[in-house]
Amino acid sequence: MTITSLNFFVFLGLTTIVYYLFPKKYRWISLLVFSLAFFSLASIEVAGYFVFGVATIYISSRLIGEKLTTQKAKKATIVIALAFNIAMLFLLKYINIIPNTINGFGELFNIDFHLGTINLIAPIGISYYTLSMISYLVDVYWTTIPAEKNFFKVMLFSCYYPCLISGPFIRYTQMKSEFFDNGDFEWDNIFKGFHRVVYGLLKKMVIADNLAIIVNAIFADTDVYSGPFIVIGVVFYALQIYCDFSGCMDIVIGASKLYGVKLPENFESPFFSKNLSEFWRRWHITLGSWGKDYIMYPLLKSEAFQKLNKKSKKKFGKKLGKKIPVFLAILILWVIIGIWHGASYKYIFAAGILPWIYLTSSELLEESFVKLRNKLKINVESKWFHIFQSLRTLFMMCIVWLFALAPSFTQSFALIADIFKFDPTVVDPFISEVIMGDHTLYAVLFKWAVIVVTMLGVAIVDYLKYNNVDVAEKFNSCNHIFRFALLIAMIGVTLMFGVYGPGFVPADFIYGGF
Amino acid sequence: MKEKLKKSVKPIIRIVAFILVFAFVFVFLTYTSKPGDLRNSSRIYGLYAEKKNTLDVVNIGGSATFVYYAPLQAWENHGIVSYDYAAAGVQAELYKHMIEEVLKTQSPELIVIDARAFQYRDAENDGSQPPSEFTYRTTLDGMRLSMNKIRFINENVGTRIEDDDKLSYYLDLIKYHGHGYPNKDKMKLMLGIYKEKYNGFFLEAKNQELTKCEFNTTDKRPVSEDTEKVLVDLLEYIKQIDCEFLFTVSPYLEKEEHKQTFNYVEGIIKQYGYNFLDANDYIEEMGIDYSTDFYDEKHVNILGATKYTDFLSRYMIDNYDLPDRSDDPAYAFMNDYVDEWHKDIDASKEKLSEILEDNSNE
Repeated sequence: MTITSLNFFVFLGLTTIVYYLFPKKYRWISLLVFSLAFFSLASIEVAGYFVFGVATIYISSRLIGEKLTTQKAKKATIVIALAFNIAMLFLLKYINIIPNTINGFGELFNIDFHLGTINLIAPIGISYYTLSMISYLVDVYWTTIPAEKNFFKVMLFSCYYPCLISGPFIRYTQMKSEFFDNGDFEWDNIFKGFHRVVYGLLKKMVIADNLAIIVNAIFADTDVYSGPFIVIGVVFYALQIYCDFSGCMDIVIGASKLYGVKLPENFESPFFSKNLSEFWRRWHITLGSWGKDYIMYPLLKSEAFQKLNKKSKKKFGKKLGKKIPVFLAILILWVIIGIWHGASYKYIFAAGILPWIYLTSSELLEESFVKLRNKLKINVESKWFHIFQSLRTLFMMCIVWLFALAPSFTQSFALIADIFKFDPTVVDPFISEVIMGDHTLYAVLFKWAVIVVTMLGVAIVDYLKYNNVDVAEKFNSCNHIFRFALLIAMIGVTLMFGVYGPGFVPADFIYGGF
Repeated sequence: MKEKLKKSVKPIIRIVAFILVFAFVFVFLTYTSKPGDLRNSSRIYGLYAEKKNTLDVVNIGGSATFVYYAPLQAWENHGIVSYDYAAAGVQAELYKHMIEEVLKTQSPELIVIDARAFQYRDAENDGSQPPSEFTYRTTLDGMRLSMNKIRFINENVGTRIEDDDKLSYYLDLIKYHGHGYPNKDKMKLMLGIYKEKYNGFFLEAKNQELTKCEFNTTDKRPVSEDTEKVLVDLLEYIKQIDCEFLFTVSPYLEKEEHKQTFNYVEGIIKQYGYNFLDANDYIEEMGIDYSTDFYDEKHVNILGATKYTDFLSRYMIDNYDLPDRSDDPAYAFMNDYVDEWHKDIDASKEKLSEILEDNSNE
């Protein structure tokens, strides 16, 4: 059941009705039933992993929170529970990085290890629910929250179905009141949720999925499409991945809002960011904050890092010395984030090491940049400088995405080299086969004009959000007819230009020969 | 209390209004998304624009109908008010539903059914065109969404043809979105005023020189079990309808095994008391010339169509109680496109004579 399928919306519609038929006190039970049903539809054959995972987290949280008295015992319990769940996640999702690494090293020395990969079926949303469960257990260990006594409440928190699709990562502290102290039925939740879902579908199906056709065509054949194609491809990919991921988030957050459950935001206009650290604070927010809270800060507080801090201060001086443990902790965090994105070195580099290089070098060079700006008398508050900064940030991110788009880590450098090649003879076939496809010229122009207008609309919404305008509230305060018309227009554009359905090839329907 | 009621009623009114507007937009988009070339289904759409209860004859079938029988010629020469309710590659199982659709707005004296569909339906037959997405959609896409259309889809899609995306047969926006753009014809379709100028006839000015297959057979070659079931279903259905029915085979390069199939089909049809006319048995009477009157093995050109139209019209007048409407002022609308028809048919004939001259010079 994909998030843009009719089945999903039928499921969402029916469950919303059933949810409000339940007495307020028991509505969370209905959410658990819906979530388990959703989970079972996708992953019934591997549901055991999930149940086992929740059970270990629940039992260990009860032990840590209520039964165990010594810190040592608590520590041992949390280590075992975390190791168990992380091992399960690694085994089901990332195990193939081991044979791939060994085979890769073998290739370097002309040795054929020929280790096969393992294809295990992972439950839907395993990386999302595992990290959410870890955050719960760690919060109990830190006594930030008490251990939940009701197993099924922990289960709901772990498998709340809108979050299983593509996040966001949720924390028990945030969600407890949303799930279990939910307020009365409010039309406002229904309307706002519906608006958000419609907006998400527009971004995902009209912008992202149409751009994907071009991006996929270019990066499926980089031997043919080089030079400006790669540049266009990666810029389109930037827009595609943003509209795809944030569109999915809009659908998920909107769907959840229908039940009156507020989920945390995952994107805050990242393309208007002035620098990369701001970009990462606005892109996949819940992953970033999870990483900081449960990896980076604990590392920095750990004994080993405290010792390192002292040593490096002694060796490199106070200023640089205190930065070294921080940079190391950030490196560990980013490598883990890289692995989380995919079990391959290209992700470890593109989504891990490269962002770390960006962040640490900008931190180290910050003073020099400030001096240079002062020397050039650049008005850092001007709009033009902001535009420059945003484009620079986007450029840096495009390099990250270029690595992610390459078939493998080693091929990514060849892909960058291909930017400087160009074969003009492929322009015509590209236009006729990829852009035109089986459409008429008029239909293509009409479609792309609508897509461009839609992208401008999304950019305006993001710009308003960047400037702290509550767009949803603003929209709700607009004239009824305007809201109505805009909503209908968004649905209409999605139905007309969204990528869905079986597709139509006019060649199959030619009249000739009857 | 009043305030509370107002608070809960207002959103419901908003939702209902939204659904209504959305339904209108959905219909608008469905028509707008249709591919630019409407010819595949234009005759099916066109029926809705015909004045209610004005058609005396409705010809149902595939290309063996709409490139053969010219309603405007039949009107001018015989005063017959007719319409070609046909779509390319039509499948016989659609006939029942096409008749039902016709009867929603018309009460014809006679419905002429193209029997060639029973021959080309079986995959093992020569020149076959068995059920497929294309042969269903050409007709279905032109039909408005109704229980009749839904019944056909339920009965046939997923059983007679494979299709994972059944929903797109009910709502063809799912199939065609992104391919169309608004234009005048599509707006007319939506409003049900898209008029087929020549009442469904399609002029073809090409030529292929053919040689008649000579045979004389009374043998019967059975159709497949499924085709026979479709035929019997149709006959059972039409026997309940207060209207005359005629089954025809239009002239083409009929081969011996085709004839044997038609002999079999004719036998079943006659058991139900309906006439069966294989026009290939009357080639000389019609004056059809195999060297000039066809554009391929399966279809006549405008010269052949002219001859066949006169032949079939005379047959219908002789065998059925068809009124001559030529002097009836209520049917003056039939003259709306006659001038244009003359221009088109003259131009087509001229073009064809040039082609024939070129062919003879070669």
